[in-house]
Amino acid sequence: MNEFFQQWFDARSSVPGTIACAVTADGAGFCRSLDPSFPDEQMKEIVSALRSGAPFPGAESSEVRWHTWVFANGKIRSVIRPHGWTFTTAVRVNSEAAQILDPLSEEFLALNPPG
Amino acid sequence: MSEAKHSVLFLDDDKDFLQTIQELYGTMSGQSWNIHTAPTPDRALEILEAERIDLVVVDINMPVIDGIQFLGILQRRHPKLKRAVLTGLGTPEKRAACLANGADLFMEKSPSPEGYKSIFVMLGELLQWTPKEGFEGVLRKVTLQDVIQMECLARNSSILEIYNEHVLGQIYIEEGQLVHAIGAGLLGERALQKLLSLPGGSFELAQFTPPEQKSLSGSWEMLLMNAAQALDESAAVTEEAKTAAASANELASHLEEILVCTSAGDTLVEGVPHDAPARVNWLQSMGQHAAMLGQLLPLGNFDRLETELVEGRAISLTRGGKLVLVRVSKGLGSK
Repeated sequence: MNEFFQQWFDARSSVPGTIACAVTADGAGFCRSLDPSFPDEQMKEIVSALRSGAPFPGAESSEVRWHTWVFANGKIRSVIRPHGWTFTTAVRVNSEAAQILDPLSEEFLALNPPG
Repeated sequence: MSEAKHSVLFLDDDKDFLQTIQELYGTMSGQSWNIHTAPTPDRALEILEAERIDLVVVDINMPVIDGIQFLGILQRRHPKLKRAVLTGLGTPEKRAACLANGADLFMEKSPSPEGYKSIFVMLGELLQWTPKEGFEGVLRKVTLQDVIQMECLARNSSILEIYNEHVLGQIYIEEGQLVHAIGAGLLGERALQKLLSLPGGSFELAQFTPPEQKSLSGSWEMLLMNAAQALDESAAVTEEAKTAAASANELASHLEEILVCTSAGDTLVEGVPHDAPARVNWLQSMGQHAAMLGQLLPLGNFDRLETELVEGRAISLTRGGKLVLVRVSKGLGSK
């Protein structure tokens, strides 16, 4: 299953405007930074910080599709699959990566790994 | 018996009243009035087809077709006929509706013989009345602005009387200048704007008599321009209000929950189905995480956290020291 998500991640992680992105499950997974000033370790800290947040109230975890943290110059999106795999990406505002955030998120949720 | 000079038709569903009026006015006129009576509108139309009638006197409250509708029929089929209304219960609205449908005279039935004498005199005056010099007819697609412009350019003095089912008003024109307007409970420019904004109705140019006061000043061109501008603005405001109301209705129909609290967790506005403390906790956690994420990845000021749900979406944000959570169901526009 790791290989399946790794292939998807490799194919989707280099869209212009992406600062860094990660696909993780239970804290482990793949992480890539496309911005030299933003090392992978910091992206891992972001993924970790997002995992520690309070659950969205009034909804089962399966009802939450994604969260988007909107800042003046960019967005951080975390897309949550029902069985724990999470896609996290940080993009710059008005970039190609920002424009395809929704279809990319839908695609991640619709992935059908073997087995 | 003297020769009948005038033919008068009374339409009323009260047969006793018709019999009384026929005897009374026959006698009072010295039989110079040839009085016809009709208890129904269709009988009245038959008489109008068969006889030369000078004046029709119509009751308002009748079954099937009331007097106001019948006046409308007369206006189309017998436009030259003189028309009066004699009703048991007259209201300002009915009066305006009758005048708008072509009535020349509007009177209430009287409980006393003196009253019926007055009515007889007024009907006699109407029978004697002949149109003044000039043309009479129907102009379609003529605006009140056109009429005012025509009167002002000719430097005429007249009173433009305007009426429809709901409004009665006058615009006074003195030597080509607008000097006074009254109608719909308004005075001056507001009355002028209201009268000029009417979607339809009738008007008559009456002989000028000086108004009790002068509520308009300035050139007629400027007054008309102001009225047109006010009408445009009013239309724009109405459209805006409609759009805002539609948006508010749409939002209200999709709003699932809303909570506003202070950063310390004190709830200010609560419209949530249950478990408000969990939502306060979520908002406080959101504020802390936003600060943390901002330190790890400098992307500028934090604006909001959007949460996409299977059945809707939620916005969590912090503004002016307050924390806000709004959740809406699917189908609401993204704005």
